[in-house]
Formats: sequence, C-alpha cells, structure tokens
Amino acid sequence: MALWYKLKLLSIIFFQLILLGNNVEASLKKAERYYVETGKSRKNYLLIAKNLMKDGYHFSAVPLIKEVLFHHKNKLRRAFDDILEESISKVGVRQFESMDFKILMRSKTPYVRYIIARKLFRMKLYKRSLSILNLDKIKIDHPIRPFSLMLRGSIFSIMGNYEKSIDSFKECVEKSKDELDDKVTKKEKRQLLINKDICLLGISRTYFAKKDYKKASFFYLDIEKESYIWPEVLFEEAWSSFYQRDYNRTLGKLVTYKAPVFSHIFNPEVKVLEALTYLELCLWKDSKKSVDLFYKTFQSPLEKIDKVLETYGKRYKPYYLLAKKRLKQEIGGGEVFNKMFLSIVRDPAFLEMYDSFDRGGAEIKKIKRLKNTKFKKFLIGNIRETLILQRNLIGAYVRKSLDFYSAMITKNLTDMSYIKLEVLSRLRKEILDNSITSRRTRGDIKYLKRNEKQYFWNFNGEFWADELGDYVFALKSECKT
Amino acid sequence: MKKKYTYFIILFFFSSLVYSNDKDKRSEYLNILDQEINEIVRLSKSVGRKNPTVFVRMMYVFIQKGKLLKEQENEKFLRISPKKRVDLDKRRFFKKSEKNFRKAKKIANFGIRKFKNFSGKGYFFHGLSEVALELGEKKGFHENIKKVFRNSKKGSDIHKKSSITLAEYYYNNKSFSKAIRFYENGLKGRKDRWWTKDAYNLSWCYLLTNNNKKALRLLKQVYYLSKNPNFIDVSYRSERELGYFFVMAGKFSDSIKFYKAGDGKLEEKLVRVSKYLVRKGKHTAAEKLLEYGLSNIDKREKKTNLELQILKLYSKFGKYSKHLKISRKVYKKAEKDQLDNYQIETFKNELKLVVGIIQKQVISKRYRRNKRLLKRKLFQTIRYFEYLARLEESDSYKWNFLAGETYFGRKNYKKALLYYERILISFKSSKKNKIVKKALEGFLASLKKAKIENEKKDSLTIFGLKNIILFEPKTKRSNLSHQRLFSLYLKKKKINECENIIFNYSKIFRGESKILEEMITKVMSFYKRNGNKKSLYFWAQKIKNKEFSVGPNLVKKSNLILLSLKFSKVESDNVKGNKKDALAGYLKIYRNSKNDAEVRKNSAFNAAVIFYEGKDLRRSYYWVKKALNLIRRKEIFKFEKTIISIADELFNRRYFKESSDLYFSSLKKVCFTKSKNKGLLLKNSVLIYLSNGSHKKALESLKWGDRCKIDGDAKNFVRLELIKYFNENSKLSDLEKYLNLFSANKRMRPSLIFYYDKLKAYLFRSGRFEKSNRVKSKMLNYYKQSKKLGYKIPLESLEAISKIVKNNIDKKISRLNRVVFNFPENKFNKVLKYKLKKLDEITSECLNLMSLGSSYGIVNGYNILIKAYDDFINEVLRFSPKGRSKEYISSFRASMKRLIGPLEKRGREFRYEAREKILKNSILSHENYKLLLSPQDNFINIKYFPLKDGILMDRGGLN
Repeated sequence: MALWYKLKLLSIIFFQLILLGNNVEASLKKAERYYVETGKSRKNYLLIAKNLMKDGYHFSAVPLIKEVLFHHKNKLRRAFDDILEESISKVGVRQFESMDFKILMRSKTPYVRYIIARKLFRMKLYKRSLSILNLDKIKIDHPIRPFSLMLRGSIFSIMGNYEKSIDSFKECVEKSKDELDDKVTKKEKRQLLINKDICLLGISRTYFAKKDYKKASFFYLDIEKESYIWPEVLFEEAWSSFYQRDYNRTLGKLVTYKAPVFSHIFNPEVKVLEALTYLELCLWKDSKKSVDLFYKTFQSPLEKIDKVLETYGKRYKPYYLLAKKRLKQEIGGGEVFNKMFLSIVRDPAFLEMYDSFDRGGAEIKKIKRLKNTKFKKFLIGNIRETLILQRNLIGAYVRKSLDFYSAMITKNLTDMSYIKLEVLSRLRKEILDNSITSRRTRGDIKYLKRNEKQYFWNFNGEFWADELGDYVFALKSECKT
Repeated sequence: MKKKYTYFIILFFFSSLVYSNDKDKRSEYLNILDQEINEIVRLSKSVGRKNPTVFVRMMYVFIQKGKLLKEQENEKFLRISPKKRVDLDKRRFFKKSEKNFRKAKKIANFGIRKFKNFSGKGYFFHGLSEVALELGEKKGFHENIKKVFRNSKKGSDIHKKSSITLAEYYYNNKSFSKAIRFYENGLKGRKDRWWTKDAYNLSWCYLLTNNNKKALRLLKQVYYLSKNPNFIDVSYRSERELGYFFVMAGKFSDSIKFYKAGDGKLEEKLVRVSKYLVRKGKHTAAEKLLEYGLSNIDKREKKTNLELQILKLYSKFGKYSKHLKISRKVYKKAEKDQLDNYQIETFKNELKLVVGIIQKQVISKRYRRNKRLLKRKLFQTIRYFEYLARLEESDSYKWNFLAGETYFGRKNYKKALLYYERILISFKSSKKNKIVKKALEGFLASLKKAKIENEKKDSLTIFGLKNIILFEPKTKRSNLSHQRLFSLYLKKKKINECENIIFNYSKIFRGESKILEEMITKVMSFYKRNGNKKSLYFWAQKIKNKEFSVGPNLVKKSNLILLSLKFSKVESDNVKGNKKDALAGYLKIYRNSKNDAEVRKNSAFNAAVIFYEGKDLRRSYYWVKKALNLIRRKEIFKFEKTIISIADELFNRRYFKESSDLYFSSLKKVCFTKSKNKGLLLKNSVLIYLSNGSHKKALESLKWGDRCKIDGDAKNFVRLELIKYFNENSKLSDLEKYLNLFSANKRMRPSLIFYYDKLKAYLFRSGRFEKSNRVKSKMLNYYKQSKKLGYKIPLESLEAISKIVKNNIDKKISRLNRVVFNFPENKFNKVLKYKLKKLDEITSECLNLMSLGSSYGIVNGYNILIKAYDDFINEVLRFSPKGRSKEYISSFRASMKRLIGPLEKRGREFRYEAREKILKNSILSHENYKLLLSPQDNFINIKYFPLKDGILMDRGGLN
C-alpha cells in the first residue's frame, strides 16, 4: 500500500475520532460556545459550521463555509474540504456555483472541481474545464465521479474527440449503474438515473455529431421511456430520423408529444420540426398549417413572457413566487404559459433546488424553536442569507428558463417564417409547373423504414405508455423528384 | 438550416421568373405573393436588419408581384377599344404594378446603402435592373446589369447570368466582339440547361467576327449537346445552320459528311439547309450544296426533294436548261406516282413559274434572231404546258389552250389547231367557260389561216360549226352555223344529221319559224320524192302535235296528209255496210294511234255504235266507255243521246251494273254542261244502283248531283229513294243519319214523317223510349210546319201522325174508364160531371184526328167516339145505388135515362157519319170492319184476313 494512502487513512481515522469525541457534547451547544468565544470573528467559523452540520443545520452552516472559503488566502486544509463536500452534498452545488471560480479554486475537492469544470464548461473554456476536472484526482467510488464522467464526455464530444467522448459516456453509464445500488435516498437515485440516461444520450449525440445517424438512433433506443430525459431523447430521435430522411418516423416521434403524459413538456421546436418534416415531404399545406398554428399558439404567449421579463427584470423573487404559485397549482396566463411553467417546475434541477429550499425552511423552523440567544439570531441571519440565495437561485433559474424559452420561441418564429417562405416558394413553383396534386394518398405502410429495435404501431388516437415514441406516420412524399 | 434557405431564396428568384398566363393561376400566384410579403415583413422585423437576404427576397417578391399585376393590367388595357385607349392615362392604368416596382426599387436601394459589405449586393442591382426593364428604362437596365456584373462574385450564378444578359444586350446591338467577351465569361464552368442556347449565340458571334473555325467548332458542340435532354434543344437550328457555317468555312464535302453521319434523312437536312442558305442570300452555296447532295445520294426516289429545291434555285437564276433537265426527271417520277401531293404541288408551281417566264420570251421579239434558242425555248414551253396538262387533269384545257396560243403566237396554225381541238373535244357540254370560248375563237382563226386540204378543212369546219352550236347555242352565229351545217349535210345527203339540226334548231330558235319551216319542207320534200311514207307520216304527225312552231299552211297540209293516210279505207268500208271490216279497221286504227286521242276517240265510238247496232251490248259498253274517256266535255253533246240509248238498252237487258255505270259516267261527263239530261241520268243511275244494293254508289251519284247543280226535285227524288232503301233494308244507322240530313230540306219533311215513324217504331222496339219520344216530337213538329207552309203531306205520313194522335186519345179513354160511379148522390154527381167533361174533350180530339185526312184517322176517330159514347151510356144505365129504396132507384134510373138520351142520339149520328164517309170516300182501312158492320152483326168484333200473302216484288221486278 502506498505511503500516502496510509497517511490519508490515518488522518481520516483521526479526524473521525475527533468528531466522535466532540459528539459527546451536543454539537449545537458546542457551536454556540465557539460562537460566544469568538464573537463576530471568523476564527471559529469552520468549527461552528462543522458542529452545526453535525446537528443537521446544513443551510445555517453554508454562509460560514463560504466565508471561510472567501477569506482564506492559503490552501485550505483537508478538514475544510471534507466539510465543504458534505455541505455541497446536502445543500447542492448551486449554492457554491454562484461563487467566483477563482475562489472556488482554493478548494480542490472533487465536488468543487466539478463545480468549477461546469462553470468553465459553460464559459466554453473546454480545455481548462477538462484539466480542472482531472478525473484522475477523483476517486473511483466518489459520488461525483459519474457526473464528472458525464461532463468529460460532453467536453470531448464538443471538442470533436468522439472516441474519448464515447468512452467517457460509456464509463459514466456503467458507473452510474454501480452507484445506484449503493444509494439510499430517492433524490440521489433520481440524480444517478438521470445522469446515466444523459450519458446514454451523450453516446447517441456523439454518434450523431459523427453523422453516424444509425448508431445514434440505436443508442437512443437504450434510454428507457420511464427516464426523465426521455421526452428530450424523443425530440432528438425525431431529429435523427429527420436527418436520416425517415420523415414518417420523425412525425411519429413528434406526435408522441401530444400524449397526456407529456403535458408538462414545453418544446416549441417540436412544431418547427413538424413543419420542416412536412416541408421535406412536400406536403405544403400541412407544413403551412403547422406554421400558422405555431404563430397562433406562440405569438401572444411570447409577448407575455417578454412582458414578464421586462417587468421583473433581474428581481428574482417574483420569478420564484411565480414558480411557487405554479407548484401550488395556481394556474393562469394561458395554456402555453402554463405549460412552460409546468415544464420549469417539473425540471429535476428546479426540483432539486426547491427541495433544498424546502429543507432550509424546515431548518429555520428548527432554529426558531431554540432559545432566544445571540447565537439563535446569528443562525437565523445565516440561514436567511442561505435561503434568500436559494430563493434567488430558484428565481434566477426560472428567469433563465423564461429567457431561454423567449429566445427559443423568437428563434422558432424566425425558423417558421423561413419554412413558410419556403413553402410559399414551392407553391409558386408548383403553380408555374402546373403540378399541384389534387389527390393525396396518405398513410401507407410501404413508406416506412425501421431497424431491429423499432416496432411499428398504428396510431389510433390513444397513447399507450409502451407505444410512446414508436409511432410512425405513413405519408407519401408528394415531391416530384 | 437558415443558410440553406437563404441560398434558396436567391436561387429561386433567378430560376422562376416565369409568367403565368392563366387567370386563376395568376390570382392564386398573387395570393401567395401577398402571403409571402406578409411573411417577409414579419421576418424582417426579427432578423431583417441583420440579414440582407430577407431584403433581397422582399425585393424579388415585389418585382414578381409587379410583373403579374402588370400582366393583369395589360390584359385589361388591351380589352379597351383602341379609340378609348388613346385618351387614357397609361401611367394611371398601370399604377398598381408600378407601385410594386417602386417598392422593390426602394428596397434595393435601401439594401445597397445598408449592407455595403454584403457579398450578394449584386442581387440588389439585379433587382434594380429588373425594375428598370419593367418600367421601360433601358439605360437604367443596362447600367444596373453592369453593376450586377461588377458587384457579384466571379463564378457565382448571378455573375454568370448578368454576363449572359450583357452579352445578349451587345448581341442584340450587334456588338459581337463585346458580346463574345461576356458570353465566354457567362459560359465558363458548369454547363447549365441554357448553355446550348447561349453558346449558339456565341457561335454566331464568332462567325460574324470572321472566326469561322471557332464558330463551326462551337456550333458542332451545341448541336451534339442539344441531343442531351439536360440541355435546351437547339439542334434543329444548329444542324440547319451548320450547313451555313460549313459553307462559310468553305467545307462543302465536310458538310455532306456531317449530315450523312447524323440521324434522320440526309435529303431532308440538305433541303432544310439549302432553304436556310437561300434565306441568308447564299444562293450559290445552296446550289452547290444541293448539287453535292444529288451526286451523293444514290437512290433516285430520295432525290426528289433536292431536285425540287434545286429547281427553285435554277428558276430564280434563269438556268432554264438545267431546269428542264431536272424537270424531266421529276416529271417521270410523277408519272410513276412516286411523288407525294406536296411534291406534286411544288413541282407544278415551279413549272408554272418558269413556263410563265419563257412563254413571254418565246412570244416576244427578243429572240427572233436567235432561231435556235427560240426553238429550244418554244420546245421547253410546250413541254412544260404538256406536263402541267397531264399533272392537272381537271385544268388540262387551260394548259392546252396556252400551248395552242403559244403556237398561234408563233404563227404555227396547224399545230395550234391540234391543241385547240384537244380542248374542244374535251368539252362536251356547253359550259360557260371563257377559255373554251377563246379556244373556239382560236380554232376558227387558225382554221381560217391554216393551209390544209379541202376535205380535211371541211371536216374541221363541221367540227368548228358544231362547237359554235355547242358553246354558244343561242347566238346569231349559232343560228347561221345551224343553217350552214344543214346545207352542208343536205348537200352530202346526210338526212339524219339534217333532221337532228332541225330538232336542235327548233328547240333553240323557236321564233325563227320561217327558217325552220324551210328546213322541214326540204326534208319532207326529200322523203316525198323518195316515196318514204313512214318518214313523211312521222314529220306530219310531229307538225300535227305542234312539236314545231310552223305556220298554219304547213299544219293544214300535214293534217291532210295524216287523215288521208289513216281513215281513208275504213270509212269506205262502213259506208258500204261492210261492218265487220269497218269494225276491224276502227279497232286497228285505235290500236295503232296510241298518241292520237282524236283518232282513238272516233274509232272507239264508231266501234261502239257498230256493236250496239249488232246487239252486242257488252262490247258496245266496253267501247263506249273507251270513247267516253277520250271525249272532251265540250263535245259530249254530240254523243249524249247515243250513250243514253246504249245505257237504256243495257238496263232493259238487265245489265244493271254496266247500265248504271254508263249513266253515272255520262252524268260526270255532262256534269258541267247545260245538258237537260242531267236529272234523268242521276235518277236512273241512283235507282239502278239501289236496286243493285250499291247505296254507296248511289250516295256518290247524289254528291255529283250537287256538283252538277241538278234541280231539287230530281235530287229530292233520289234522297227519298235512298231513305226508302235504308228503311227497307233495315239500315237503321244510315236511316237515322240521312233522315236527319235530308230533313234539313223543308220540302222533304212531309215525305220523311212516315220514315220517322218507322224509325220511332224501331227505337221503341229496341227499348230506346226517350229517343223514340224525341222522334215523335220531331214528327209532330214537321207535320205542323209542313201544314203551315201548305206542303202536301203524303197519306202514309198522315197515317203516322194519326196513330200518334190516336194513341193519346186511347190513353185518355183508359183514364176515363178507371173512374167508376159511386154514391151518395153528391159523389155520383161529381163523377158524372167529370166523365161528361172528359167525354167532351175526347170528342173534340177525335174530331181533330179525323180532320188529319188519313183514312186511318177517320175510321179510328169515329170508332173511338162511338165506343166511348156506348161505354158511358151502358155504365150509367147499369149503375144502381146500393141500400136505396126501390122507388128511389127507379126514379134515379128514370132521370138517368133522360140524361143519356142526347148522348145516345149523338152516338148513332157518329155511326151513320162514319159509314157514309167510308163508303163515299172509298176509304180502305184495316179498321173498316168495326164500323161497316153493325154491332149486332159483328158482336164478336171479327176481322177478315186473306188466306194468302200478296206477291212481293223488288225494284228490279220479280224477285
């Protein structure tokens, strides 16, 4: 066994012994004592945080940890990293994600690495992100490893290193599966399941990027329909079918979005793809109809969204409140608006944040039951700060989502305009060619293509769970050539 | 995706600027354009400011819309009448389209300003050029196209297209060198569909700038690429023009090789190319090419089109010897049916064209010194006319005429005669044809001038005269020609021809009786001299039949000849009593004179008379009928009595049918004359018809009675006979019908009452009481009217009326007898009073019955009265009031006896009067026995009937 490993083990044992010794006295009391001892000084913050977390006051501890991280100029001790990791695992990465990555860099725990890599990834600094992520420094059994693998796969895919990307994703799938057995909480299980599916999706996407559409389609089919990300997969499958010129399958995939189980899925691009598919099938009227319907459906909701964004600006609270209302089933603002919010509030990221916020709420109640001391006041101040941040994170998330949807709808409207112009052009061409076909023979099995994982189901207006995503249209292309 | 559609936007507008002609399509198209405009506006709001392609597309949409609107406006504009169009403000009319063009222009200018670094800036200039073109700004168009060229990427579609446009501009302005530069630029790189079309123009540019070899090479390439379906096919033009290019390059043999190597027929290609060369003014080249072609095609049949084409060239450039040589070949093919209709027509036209020219040359004095050339040209002219005459059989006479005229013009009368004769022979009817007339004149003129033997001349003269008669039958010249021809034939003793001339002359010149008479006399004299009676008879008969309009002297003479020829022998036989021979003679004349009604009439009647005299009435009837058919109405009076005698005799011999027919036939003949025998003939015919049971014939005779205006008595007699006939033969429908018909005549009514009574009885018996009663009323009515008018009523009619009156009286008596005496006294007195009153009424009615004048009425009137009185008296005397004392009864009876005393006296008087009247007036009545015997003698009311029936006889005597 390597020496460094032995030392590490010893230190862990030692650290745990300290914790056990301390546990004799009530942790909260200890924390209060440390607080009283130091007053407003940050000297004992780490110890206070540690003791608070021991007693389950994770959210109250977050500002203290952040404070330590922020003000500590040297490399942080190993003990701090452990506290930080525990905190992240309990309150989520987002509380820390908002911090500047230079500050975060002070800690090199796998969680922090992951957070930093994500931040860099978002900033499109892929190489740096990859170097920070450095999976060699993340233990094989570390809970963040599957997620890190996912992130690495994504970076490789974007960088065009498809083979490595696929390997990472495949490893991610395997790792996620392994980890699933060890996890107890529902939340953790859900996270891992989603991660596994995202990695599967990553494989497909990479093959897709390689323009190996058949393999891409093949891997899409490995994602189970129960998966949370399956609706997204469905859409990607539709695109994949589209690129493979299997337009009937594309339409079949898209029609699945009409199933009641997808009532929460908000994806205007589905309509764009539908119109585009009709266009490729030279079904001008259908295509035009899709476009017009899109205008009718999304034009006014877009204005509404923009109005909301304009009214609330970057004040996150109203966004949070809006989301909260939706969660309480207080619906208003039209079908599209509702669906969009439904989509936001059912998103796992949102749910995770909200869940944290909820738990923070429980913690504050717990604190309120304590004796009125300065420490209590201190704790309440801390937790309020954390929860306000969490609320703002939620609000920001909602705002970002709204902004995203607004941009997407705007872009889709533009796309639709192009599609409509294309349809009109072709219609004009047909008039000149005198070739508008009056008879349309629609729906014939001979127009279908499939591989060994695909089955053909007739769509009769009902959506059966096991059939979802397997519908295939049978429209004849009316293109002349 | 965005890039893809951006590319498409621009590409599309280059490839689809095509106009739609269909109105519906256009409006549909406009609708789409409007939608597109809306869409682009929407798009421009989101991305337009950043994306110049949106503006490019917007600009093109407006241009397209403007073009379509302009088409629409133009159509409307052209529908307005030119007069109104002049006053219209054209700019205002094309306002809509112009508005769209202006918008497009505005967008283009905006695009140029806004997107200075846009690589596709050329599109904006292209749009501006399009707008300029539409607005008729030629300069603007050219300037902008140049800018398109400058501002677009080299090798891009728009760059190439603008190059081609500029090239076309220079090409149309005949700046071929400049055009070459742009064409070469535009045709670089990938060959699109239009490459062949543009390269074709480029090849012309090369040719026109004396770069022949390059031109030929390029055009060959165009030709071969045109066969590829991916290119515009200009193979037809290029193949044709390659000939020109070859010629320009001086490569004749190469051209033949080229055309031989290609598809299709070499012959057709060469013809096409030669035509094209001719159009381009390269006649020698065309001729040379065709000659090359002729020497390179082996089969003769395939050369035809080339030959025809080369003929055109020869004629155009006066190469007539060559023309004749080729024409001969073509003509031989035509004779063998190797030419199609089009080729024949072309050949004929060619011949016509050339013959027209050389005929003029032949007739003019141009070649009079060059006799050899003249002879050759004359030969060619006549040969061409002959060809044409054979090729156009229906118009051959025209060509023969022209040939004749040509010879005439050259004073070759003998040969001219041949052609004129040909025409005249071919025309057998007198058509009004100018050429034939001219040919005739030519013939006569040539005949006059030609030097030929007498005999031949005579036959030609006869031919000429005949043709004069044929073609101008009614002219003075024809009249003289008839006479001359008659004299010529008579001189040659061709009498049949003479006769024909007479017939023809008589038809045409009806007024010229003197000349005709002269001709006929000459012919008859000829026959008389030769003792030809048959022909003489023939001519006399014709004159008699007035077939010729001749003078009365000739008519009289010929009639005399005829009669003397016909009846001379038969008449003498009849006079001599040689009846049999006479009869045979008449019959023979009758048989032989089928067309001479007069002769036939006389011979038939004479034969009938001879048969009548010989008591052979059937034959007499037969011949008299024949004669009757021939006898004219106005001369019937001569034969009437004899015919009636024959009919009477026929009746006497019981030939009823023949007799009645003869009466009736005679009646019809005399019908409209003033004959007094009309009534007799009618009565006799009707009576005999009825006796023979032919009432229909009788009715027909009656109709003739009306037509012939025969007097009323005769007709009434006939009518009454008809009624009798219907009654006797129980033809009840006819009886009723004709009773009603004839009763319209008031004079007939008294006689008809009796038959009405018969009808009434028939109706009554058949249970038709109501109708029977109506007839009864009619009878009484007619009786009253007739009496009032003082017409004499026949006894039988009176008897019929009496029966009716008697029946009424009988009814009253019956009613009287039903009332019986009864007591008490007042009742008795009331009955007595009633009965006396009724008795009085019966008495007056019986007197009335008696006054009718019929024996039946008188006898029955008295009889009724006597009986009525007797019955009343007896009833009164027999009555005894019941339950009354004897004294009362005896006093009652005594008083009754006093009462009936006068009545008894009256009864006795009546009986006496009746007896007196019967005996005095010799009344014969079936009821006489009732009155003539006293009641004591005839207490059982006995009547005597003869033991045997009387003998019944019909109208014809014993049945």
